[in-house]
Parts: sequence; structure tokens; C-alpha cells
Amino acid sequence: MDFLDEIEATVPALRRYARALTRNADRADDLVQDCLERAIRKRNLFTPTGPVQAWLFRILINIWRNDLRFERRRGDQIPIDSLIAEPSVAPAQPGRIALSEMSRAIDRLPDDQREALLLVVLEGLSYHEAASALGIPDGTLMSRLGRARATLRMSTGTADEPRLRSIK
Amino acid sequence: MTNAAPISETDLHALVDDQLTPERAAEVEAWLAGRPDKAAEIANWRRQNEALDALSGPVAGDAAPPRLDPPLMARPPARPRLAWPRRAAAAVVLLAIGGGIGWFGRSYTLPSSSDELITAAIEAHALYVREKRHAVEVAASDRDHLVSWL
Repeated sequence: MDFLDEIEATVPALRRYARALTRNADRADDLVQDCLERAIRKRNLFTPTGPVQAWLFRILINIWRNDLRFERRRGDQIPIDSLIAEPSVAPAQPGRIALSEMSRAIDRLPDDQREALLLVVLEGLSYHEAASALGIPDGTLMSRLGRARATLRMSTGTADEPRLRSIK
Repeated sequence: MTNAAPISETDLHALVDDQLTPERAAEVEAWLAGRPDKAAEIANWRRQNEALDALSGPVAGDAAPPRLDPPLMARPPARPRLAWPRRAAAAVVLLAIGGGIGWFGRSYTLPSSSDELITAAIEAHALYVREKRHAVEVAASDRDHLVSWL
């Protein structure tokens, strides 16, 4: 498969991941565009040992981290909508996590944990691919994943685990 | 079961993320069956995955805009060649518009013939109205007047 075709095949995954990171569709597409431009410009630097996908995710994450660093130096900017407190709603079905609650809990995760969790769960990357996309050892990926899941469980899981409560 | 490798934390994550072989997954499930507290934690992880998928599900469906099309992005140098007939067409259209404005609009910039006539009449009037005697009929006897007028 042609290099460009391979990149093109990854675009939907990159957009989905970027949206999960940025929580903003326009910003996500800007991020993906930057990533694709850089990938096309630096395509000779790609060594075809691993999948193109992991390489692209790595570029995207690096751009995203740089953006974040730049923004943090400038001071926090948050969309005005997020200042309005949403009333917390009870989960629609027992045993399910309310999506609004989940979305807030993900936002509160540390960046490195969120990046790892989304790569594995959303994009279905193998642990090794995800670790190489993030530029970390496999063991570090597992511990980030573990911490992310523990945190999410604390912030979303306790109220709606009927099985756990019946045991106690 | 007895000779199976011990279950690690990575196995538990891999079970939730569908990264185990079916045989290993069965071993991990069997191990979980005897540990309800662990099983509850794993069940929560699964619900987290479901929620994450649900959160990102709807946005993944729409088509990527052209600015995110790698083949298109990779060939900007080819564009000028494609664009030259357009440029030629634009040049022709602009020339035609310019010519049209010049042709039909020249009467606005050139003084019209009636303007010239009026100006000549005003000049003539200004010249002769001051003259009490008719300038064209000065007699030879009126030498002083003629000299001063000239």
C-alpha cells in the first residue's frame, strides 16, 4: 500500500483521537491537519519497521503537547460554556456509567494517562504500539493505564456497582 | 488450569481490551470467577470502555474535509499547472471588462461638443460686451482708440 494511502486510512482514527483529546471538533481537525502536514513533509524520516499508524499518533501527540505547553505559558483559556455548571444527572441505567460524568472524569485525568487510555481503548492499539506511539516503555504504559482506570473507577464507578455492594 | 501462568495486572487489562488469545482469556475469566472483588473492578473497566466508545462514537462517522486529505495535501506543486487555463480565462474577462468600460465610458471623460460651444459663446460675450464701440467697425479716424485697444 502506498504511503499516502496508509496515512489516509488512518485519518478517521486520528480525528477521533484528536477530538477525544481536545474536546473540540474544529481544534481537533486543526491538530490532525498539522499532524498530516508534518508527516507528509517528513515522510523520508519514517522507518518502515513499525506501523505508520503508531508513527502518526506519535506526531499528533507531540504537536498536542507542544500546543498545551504554549497555552499553559499563556495562561489557562477555557470555553465559556464550561463555566456553566451542569446539574449532575443520575445514570440512566443501573450498571452503566453516565456519559456526562465519564466525560468530566476523563477531562480531569492527567494528560499522560488520558493519552494512554484513549490510544488503547478508543483506537485499539496494542500495548506495544501504544507505548511506541507515546515514546515510553511498555511497563510505563501499563502503569498509566492502571492509574487511569483506577481514577475513573473512583470518580464514576462506586455508585453504580450493584454487584460490589451486594457482596459487602 | 493448574499449569497456567500466573495472572498479572497486564492480563486483566488485556482481557478488557481484547488483546488476549481466546485460551488465555478463558484462563483469566476462570481466575476471576473465584475473586468477586477483582471481577467487579474488571466489570467497571469494561463499562469505562463502553462509555468511552459511546462518547466518541457519533463524531467518528462524518467524512473528512478536503484539507485532511493526504494525497491532496501532498501535491501542492501540481496546482499552478492545473490553474493556468483559469488564469488565462481571468485575463480575457478582465481585458473585456476594461475595454468595455473604456469604450462606453469615454464620453464621461471627454468634454462634449455642446460644452465647447457654450465656452466659446461665453468668451465671445466677455470680449465684446466690454467694448462700447463695435470692435470690428473701428474707423481709421479713431486712431487713438485703435492704438489703445490693440
